[in-house]
Amino acid sequence: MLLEIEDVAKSFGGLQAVSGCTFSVEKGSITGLIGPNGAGKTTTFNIVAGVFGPDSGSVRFAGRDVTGMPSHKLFGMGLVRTFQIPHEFGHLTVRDNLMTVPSGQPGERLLGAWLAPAKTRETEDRIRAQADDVLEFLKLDRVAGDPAGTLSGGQKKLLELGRAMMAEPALILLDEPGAGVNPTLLEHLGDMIIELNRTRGYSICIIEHNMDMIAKLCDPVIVMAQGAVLTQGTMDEVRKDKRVLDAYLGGSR
Amino acid sequence: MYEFVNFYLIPGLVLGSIYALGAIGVSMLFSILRFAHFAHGDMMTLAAYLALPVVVGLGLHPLAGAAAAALMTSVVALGIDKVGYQPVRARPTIVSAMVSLGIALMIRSAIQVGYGVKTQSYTTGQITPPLRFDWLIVQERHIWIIASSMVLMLAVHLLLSRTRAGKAMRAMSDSAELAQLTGIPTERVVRLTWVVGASLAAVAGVFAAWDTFLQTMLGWFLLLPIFAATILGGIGRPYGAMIGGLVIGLAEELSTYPWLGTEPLISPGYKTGVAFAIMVAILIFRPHGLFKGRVF
Amino acid sequence: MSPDQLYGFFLYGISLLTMGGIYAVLALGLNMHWGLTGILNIGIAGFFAVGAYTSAILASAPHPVHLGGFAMPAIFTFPAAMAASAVVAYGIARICIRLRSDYLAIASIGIAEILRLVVKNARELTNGTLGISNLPRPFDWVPGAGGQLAFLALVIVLVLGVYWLAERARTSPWGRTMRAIRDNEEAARALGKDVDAFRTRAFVTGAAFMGLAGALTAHYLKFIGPEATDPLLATFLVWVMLIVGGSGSNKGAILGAFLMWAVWSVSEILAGYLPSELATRAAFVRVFIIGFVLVIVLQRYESGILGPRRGES
Ligand SMILES: Nc1ncnc2c1ncn2[C@@H]1O[C@H](COP(=O)(O)OP(=O)(O)OP(=O)(O)O)[C@@H](O)[C@H]1O
Ligand SMILES: [Mg+2]
Repeated sequence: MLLEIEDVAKSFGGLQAVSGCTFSVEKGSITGLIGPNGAGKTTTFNIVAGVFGPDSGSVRFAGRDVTGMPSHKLFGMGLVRTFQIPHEFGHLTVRDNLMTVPSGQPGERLLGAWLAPAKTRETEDRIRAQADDVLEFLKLDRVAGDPAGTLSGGQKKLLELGRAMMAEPALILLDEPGAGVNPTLLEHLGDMIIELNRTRGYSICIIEHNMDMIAKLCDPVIVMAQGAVLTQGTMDEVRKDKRVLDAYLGGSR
Repeated sequence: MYEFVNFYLIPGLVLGSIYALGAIGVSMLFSILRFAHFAHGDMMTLAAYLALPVVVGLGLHPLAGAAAAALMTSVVALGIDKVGYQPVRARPTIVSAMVSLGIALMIRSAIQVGYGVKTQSYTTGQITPPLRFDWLIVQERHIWIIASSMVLMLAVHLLLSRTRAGKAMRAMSDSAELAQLTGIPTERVVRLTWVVGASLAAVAGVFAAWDTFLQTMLGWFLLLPIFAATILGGIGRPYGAMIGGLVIGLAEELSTYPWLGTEPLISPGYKTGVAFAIMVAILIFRPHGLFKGRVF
Repeated sequence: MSPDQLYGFFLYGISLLTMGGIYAVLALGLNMHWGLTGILNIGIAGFFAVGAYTSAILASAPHPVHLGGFAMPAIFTFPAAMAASAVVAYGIARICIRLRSDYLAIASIGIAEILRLVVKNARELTNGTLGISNLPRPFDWVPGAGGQLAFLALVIVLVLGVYWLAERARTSPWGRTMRAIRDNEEAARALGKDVDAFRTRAFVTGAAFMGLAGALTAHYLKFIGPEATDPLLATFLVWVMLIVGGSGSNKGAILGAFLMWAVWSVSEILAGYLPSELATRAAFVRVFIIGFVLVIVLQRYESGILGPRRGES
């Protein structure tokens, strides 16, 4: 198992956002994470990605206990996440948003920036080429030079994905990558995610409300409700589970 | 023993009261307007000078001077808010903090233009003999300062806990959006905060000048211990600010007591460093302050 | 105009440019803190003083009261001054960099205040209120105005050097990440950036520049005393320079420094022509104007003369 979440709980003030949540993500899989609004999906991602630690429970990633580890260290271990609400670097160009991502750039250290201009330039050229590939893949190449803040909501979601791709990670946590993306692009987005999984070998855990997309991409699918895992299985199995329907009909708290 | 009480404990309480009055305002402004008000010290200086004609000119008691200064300083603070901070309210709050630095400079230099740099005093010449109760020696003004500070702190407590305005202030300090959502008139709460903060600062400024003398850097030198008291008490915790102020004031005075042997524990030259040392310790070990204020 | 007067103007011009250049170094340091990182440093005077006294102690002749007698040349003492300020900055950053910038602002005042106390009280280190005098000025052996010209040249070379470092940093991948952090800290963390470490580096680097400016001032004036920690000249004037020049722009920092120093210095001379009673008041009016300019520029002319306009980065 690449990622194991065990009995994780988190509350905000009096509100129990996640309580006793346990599931895992297998290496090489595209795992779906679904559930009604407010089920605690994003909060779970935040805990895994080290935005904040859980009140209790543990998270293991790539065989190591990473509970409460800060985000930037998790990234170094190969875990990257995207945000439900786009977190673009608004003043940076779209290309710069991508070029910021790779770690260990010599020019990203002050001494490197001052003393190793040749090496910095070399790396920059390489990263720029990589960024342009990603932009082409995401069909964002036409806006490469625009400030990211000027993109449409859907484009920003693609940019989120693009930054994750630049990381060449072991596991990507995608938080509603399809929200706000137009239907034609959505189709394409699904294909792209499959391609990332097949050809580049990224494991993916994806939160989505678009059930067609989940059905097309994910196996297994994990259903969360009220902060805990309700059930899990293939999309067909989950669809037939009456509790799932109830949870959705019961809706958010 | 009597030395300790007369020369260290009582002055510590006096200083602590002054810090506490200042810190309540800083703490409230910090939690409602979300910026560190660097002009608070110079507002205190201004108040001390505004009281000067009342105390020396009209020959009234410094407490009357403090009341008059509180009124005038509140008006000034509201005016400054309108022309100084309101125009940058929508920008990141750090801009307001910087504006407050500019305002601090303006207030101070305006006073200097008016009064020059030579020191002034409320009690021209006459020295009032201290009151004696057996071995206990107290300056009358020290009793006034400590007692009226207690009364004012009680008033703040009643304002916050018993009145609608006070509850609105607390709601806004918890969450500005929530307050707006529930229809609390935020600009009115802001104005009220300025009036409360400025009044308390004014009284503290007059007290500081009464206890020592007036000079144009009076408030600037009070600013750091007041911030230390605010952070110690936890930002947005008026009660914390009161206790923080007393702790800092006492710590500063008691740190020069010859606890070990006959030498002062800390050379009086470094007395003001004590406040800062406490602040650093708090920032390292309990950044929320003693009473779990907000951390930004 | 007599030749003597002309010569006087010439010397005044040199001193104007020299001090302007020293302030440019300070403003470039502040731009690292504020323009690039968003750190509100109100303790510039502290870093300035650390640099000034470090260099002064290392360069001074033996003295019965204060530490000294190392008589080192500037080529050692200037880097030492930068290092000392950097170390102090690192200590502050370790405690405060993760907190909201207001805390750092408060802490920076505190540090400056503590250093002021140390400077005043630690006579065995700083000679207390008397200060350290008879400091060697580099190139002082050059006859006539040549020494001052040579020192000016040194200052200008150092300004250019610091500008190069600051600009290189700003336009490098490091600067890009710094801007990314300012745009969205949480995303930067999620993308592997150790935000605190990046900020700390910017803070330490800016402080080192401030330390260099302190050392330059001490040796230029051949004296350093507690007035060096006066927040007005060492902190607020620098703020106005950066804000007027345009925070975020290194060129703006330099322009603002020379411009505001010229205004400050010339207005001082003009005030000197006033009758003495008015002259002291005029000194305070100048301070008032500093505060006023700070507020107005912040409110109305956010980007200063050369700073990035709103929406740009
Ligand atoms: N930082 C926070 N502070 C307070 N409450 C929070 C915070 N983050 C989430 N919550 C609350 O926790 C609960 C779970 O939220 P979460 O965002 O994890 O749900 P979700 O499953 O992602 O929902 P959605 O499908 O709408 O994105 C919600 O009630 C939410 O309001
Ligand atoms: Mg969510």
